[in-house]
Amino acid sequence: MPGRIRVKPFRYNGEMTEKQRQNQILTPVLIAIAVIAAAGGFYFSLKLEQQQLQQAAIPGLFWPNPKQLTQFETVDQDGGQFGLEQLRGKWSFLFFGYTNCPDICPITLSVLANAYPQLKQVSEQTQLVFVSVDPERDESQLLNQYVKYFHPDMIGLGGSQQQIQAMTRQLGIVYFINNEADQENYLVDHSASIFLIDPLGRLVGKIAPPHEANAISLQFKQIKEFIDAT
Amino acid sequence: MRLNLRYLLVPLLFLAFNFSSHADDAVILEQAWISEAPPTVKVMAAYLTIVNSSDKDMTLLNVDSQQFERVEIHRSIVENDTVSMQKQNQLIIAAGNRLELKPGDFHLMLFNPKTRLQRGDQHSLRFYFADGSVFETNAVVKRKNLQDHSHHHH
Repeated sequence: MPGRIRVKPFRYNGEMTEKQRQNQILTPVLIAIAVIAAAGGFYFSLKLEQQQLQQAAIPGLFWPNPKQLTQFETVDQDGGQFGLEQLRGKWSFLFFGYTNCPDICPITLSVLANAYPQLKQVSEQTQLVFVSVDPERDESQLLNQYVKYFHPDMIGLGGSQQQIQAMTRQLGIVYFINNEADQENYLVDHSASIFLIDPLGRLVGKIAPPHEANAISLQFKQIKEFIDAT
Repeated sequence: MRLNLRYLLVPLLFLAFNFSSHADDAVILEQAWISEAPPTVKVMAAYLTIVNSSDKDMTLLNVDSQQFERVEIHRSIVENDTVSMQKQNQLIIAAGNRLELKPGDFHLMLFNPKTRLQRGDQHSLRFYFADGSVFETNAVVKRKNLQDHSHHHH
């Protein structure tokens, strides 16, 4: 046993000296790689953390998996077609309601119209879109007068019940028309939030009530900066 | 003539007293306004503050107006991101309390205006309470007062 011990370290030592020569080059390279990897990992983890922190600080941001919208067809306030193409290249603020909604809809649309100049400062390519979830009553001419009252640039979307449903379903928006008791003066339950679609046609954010013009433009600025940086 | 005046003054004073007693009535209706809407809109909203200065609870049962076919008391409620309006059969204003009807909360729904409403118009609203008392106030048509603009100077 002691002999084996004596022989083994001898051979081992011999190999070590050969290896050491190689290691003179290899070791620093390996260390350098390890250091770079560690630093890189650290840097990326920091960046990721920063991004996550930033993300957490932005209320209503849908990230990392914003919903990509697919083709849909609705009719705008002038009777023209309005689909995914009309959302591309623009930041679109969508609100869903109906013209005979006396309380929440006029408040939200007034606030949006008020915020519009500030939103345009964040991005010149900004549009305000009111989507009727009561398209049978809200035909184009009515929608036209309605949206123009709040802002001349505001877009109003209607169409058939199926067309509106095909669009709202993509966004995960539900609404309910309570017209069983009264066919004329019925109410519609609908979403209270404003939805933000980015220029690529992705649903990137939701702005929850209560709505206030300054808060909306701040939220928009944060979301836009975040998405521009990714 | 002097005597005649004195005789006239008594019933006049009596009338005036009766009239002024209206001011310290149980209910005071403050700052009523109707939210201006596009001309095509058939359903509008009115807001106000109801002050109950009496020592007993007051229950509002009904509101009507000559200008509108029907008035209902509603409340907007946001639940799971969905807003719905819920009709209220009554509103109880506790003794010594005030209830604010405001955008996004309690409001009056005004159905089918009989004539087109213009900004600055005043329309009378009558409030019927459970104890049989009726109060009336004028609501002015105006655009929602958005305060966020006051902070901006550009």
